[in-house]
Amino acid sequence: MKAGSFVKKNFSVFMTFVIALLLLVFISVLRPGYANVNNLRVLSITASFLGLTAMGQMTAILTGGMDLSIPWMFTIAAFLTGNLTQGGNEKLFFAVPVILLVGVLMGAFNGIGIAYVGIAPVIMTMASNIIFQGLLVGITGGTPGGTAPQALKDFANGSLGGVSTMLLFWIAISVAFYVMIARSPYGRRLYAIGNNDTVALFSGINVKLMRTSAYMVCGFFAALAGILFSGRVSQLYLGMGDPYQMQSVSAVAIGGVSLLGGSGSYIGTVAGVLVLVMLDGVLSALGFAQSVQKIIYGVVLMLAVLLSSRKQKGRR
Amino acid sequence: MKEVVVVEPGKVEIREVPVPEISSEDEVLIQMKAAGVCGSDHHIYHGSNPCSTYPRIPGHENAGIVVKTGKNVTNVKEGDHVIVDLLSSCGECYQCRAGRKNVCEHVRVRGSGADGGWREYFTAPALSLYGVIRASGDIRLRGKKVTLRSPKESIRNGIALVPEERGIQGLILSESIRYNISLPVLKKISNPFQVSPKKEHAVVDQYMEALQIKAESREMAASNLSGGNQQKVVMAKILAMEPEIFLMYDITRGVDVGTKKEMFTMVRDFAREGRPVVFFSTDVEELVKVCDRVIVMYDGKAGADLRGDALTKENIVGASIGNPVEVKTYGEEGEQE
Amino acid sequence: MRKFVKENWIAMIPYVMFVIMVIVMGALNTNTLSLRYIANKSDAAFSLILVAAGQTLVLLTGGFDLSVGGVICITNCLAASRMQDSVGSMLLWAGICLAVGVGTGLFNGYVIERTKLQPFIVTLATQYVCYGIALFIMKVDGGNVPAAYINALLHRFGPLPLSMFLIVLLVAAWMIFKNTKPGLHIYAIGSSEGAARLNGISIMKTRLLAYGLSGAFAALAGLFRTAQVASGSPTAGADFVMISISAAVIGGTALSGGSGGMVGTVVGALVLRTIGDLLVFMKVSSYWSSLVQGVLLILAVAASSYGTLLKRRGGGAA
Repeated sequence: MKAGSFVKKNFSVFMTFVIALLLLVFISVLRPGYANVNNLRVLSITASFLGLTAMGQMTAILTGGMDLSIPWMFTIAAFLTGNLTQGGNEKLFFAVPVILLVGVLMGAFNGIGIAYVGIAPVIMTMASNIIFQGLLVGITGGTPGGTAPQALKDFANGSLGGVSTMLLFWIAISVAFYVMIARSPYGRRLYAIGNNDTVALFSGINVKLMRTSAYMVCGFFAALAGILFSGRVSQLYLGMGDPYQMQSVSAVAIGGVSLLGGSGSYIGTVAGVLVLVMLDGVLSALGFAQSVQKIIYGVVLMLAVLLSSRKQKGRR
Repeated sequence: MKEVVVVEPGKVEIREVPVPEISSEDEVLIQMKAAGVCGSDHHIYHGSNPCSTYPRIPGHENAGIVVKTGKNVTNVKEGDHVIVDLLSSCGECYQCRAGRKNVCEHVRVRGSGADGGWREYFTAPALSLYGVIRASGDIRLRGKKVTLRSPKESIRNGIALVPEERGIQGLILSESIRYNISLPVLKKISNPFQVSPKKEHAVVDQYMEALQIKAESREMAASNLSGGNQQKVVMAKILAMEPEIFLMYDITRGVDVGTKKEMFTMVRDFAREGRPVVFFSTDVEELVKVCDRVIVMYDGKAGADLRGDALTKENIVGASIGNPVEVKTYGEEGEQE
Repeated sequence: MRKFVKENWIAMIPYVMFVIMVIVMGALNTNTLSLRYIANKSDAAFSLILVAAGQTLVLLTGGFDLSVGGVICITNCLAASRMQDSVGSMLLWAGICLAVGVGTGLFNGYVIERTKLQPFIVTLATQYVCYGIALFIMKVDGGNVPAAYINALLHRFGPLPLSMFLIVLLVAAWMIFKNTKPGLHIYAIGSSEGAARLNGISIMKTRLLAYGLSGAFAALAGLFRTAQVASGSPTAGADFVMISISAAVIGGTALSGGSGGMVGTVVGALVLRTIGDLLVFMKVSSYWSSLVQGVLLILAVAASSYGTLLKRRGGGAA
């Protein structure tokens, strides 16, 4: 496909990247020296974490749903990491797959409630979020402890050749995810059930199973992000996962993925993640008060989603 | 209970009245569950329905549940879901006694000349009721009984369906021809990780050619195609599944004449290749033209099995209103759709 | 009687839950059956009831209002920081708060209808803006609420608190409202927007009404909360968002719109607010309370969606 028509076809995604870039340029002009290696590294790490959760969220949204339970799946994974490894590297090898499995199971819980029992995704995941929170808080009596092993800390915070390892990790996983979502038969089926349940059903797709699997994927990514995040912070705290709930949805929406499901590209989601992270960075760099930051954040979110949805409709 | 009354043209009231009582042992009391609103009802409201008298409770398309039965009632029981015949006949005039209640000399329409169903409860003669029938019976495939609980199971058994609403059930309109055709056969054209574009294009092109689907390219969105071409895409996707048995539900609705002819030829070709086609239609001419054998449903059962010389328009129509036809009646299968 | 239950069992879920809770609590601690306890509970649950009421209206139209948390924060902060001791000042600022709530709601409704964006995202964005504004008004928790204001809102007529009367008033107003044209319109656009439009119902006006009322209720909730906690907080409203949706859903209002109602919501809110106490009486650690809330929500929704499934399969019309 020639470059010109490629841009035209994916114009809104392209524009979203441009917006992220503009934000970077904007802040570099106002605060010269902002775009230094260190800042960019920090930004890239933040983007990587949001990016991981956004991958899972996108999978759920593609099927026409949403996963509001990411925060506590994330947090449970983080605390489990601390607990199972007791800060030592040796147990990591065994702990990681176990925790990822836990994430998948939590996602399955969501998926079954949504696909088989028929509970609306917002309600089911909202409730499960609270349930997961209750489980963690209840079992640990409100003060869960634990520290992450050094290997994770190095991975989450370190860099390889000047680029943060988290960023490299995110890029690597993104490639795999992209193939799954955009090129594999699984991805096709996912888009189909988000688009039209009935047609998918009549085409021989097991709609309920597919839908459940989407939430399992989301659980997987939430857990993955949580495991790595335990290395990122020096002290685990209970509210760690909360920002990712709405931010993951926002990133996906800004990226042009319709909240009704069935359309949107992963590249758009990546762009959405970048915009959000840049926006956050710009707002804090400008030194505005928290209040102003939030106001601008809300306005930009609205405009960004408006922009991407308009382009979507225009294409039809 | 509440009832809706058109007191006079232009004036509607909702009244609170006591629940009616059964007035004879042949009547039932029905709790109304759903009633249709039709153009006639609008005319009744505006005073432009010549058969209506006022004040009138409208509602001639009625469905409800039987809650009380008179002693002589045998055809329904309490709890049955029923539809009420809109025609109320006298039972005694010549036409009624000849079995043609619909042209009874004193016929009145419930909802127009007599009070209808727009109320919470109403009474009706038991013989004016039609049970809402649930499908029952076995499905036998090649002589063996099968249970088909989902489309996936049916497809695995080699059965494919061309559904009724192509825009809603058959195609994802916002996506391309290619996407739609390849959807049911993803397994065939891909390995677990990747859909092979080459294989996909090959399959899609093959069927677009075979069915003569008129479109600029395979990337065209299905919504931009004509009704006939859309139906062809649905057929293509079904064919791609390579089924052994086709179920076709009203496939020529909204399709142009030329495409209709092409489809009939296709259906006959399948049949000639030895693949059975179960073809549902309400167009009698079509049935006669296309089918080798027509089973006409009446009163919830398979009424007449028409083949060969007996397969005529007159016989189909006759069988559908219950006239006995000079062929044996078929008694085994029940339709499941 | 049996028939009534068979027909309406889905709608009865919140009531059953509530009755069971009351019975269990009464058994564990007879104090809960006292008027004093009920009066306290009425006050404690009232802000939630108000927010959930507004949320119910929006849910009935098939949407969401995530911005209620923001509105509560703004009104809470405005009231706590600006109200002076005079009646005039209290009324003035109460009015301003109400106007803010309604304004936010109208904005939401307008944008949602005009841009056809998902209510989730629109109200999410609005929520951020509201939080920002609230932070602007009050940077940290604090503020000073006039004693007269607190006394007025928490006033007891004998043993009965004002909030109880207001709850009754709310339910009564709802009974009337849901049979008026605007009320029916709200149900209609949630049930089937296309059919509603074809019947001449102004979708825009109805949405503005629903979201506007939701904002108004959120403002009222913020005002009441100000009296309850005697301070302002620019962040505390966030807790109300999800729980208001839960209350409405437990109360039988479906997320898809078109069915449900205020009375169920009130009961749902009461259930959610009393669970904490129940757990205390059962000597269960309060850490488990969120778990129980979540489970209750799922049970309520699962039961109702399963019931709808059964109804549909049973072949019955409606």
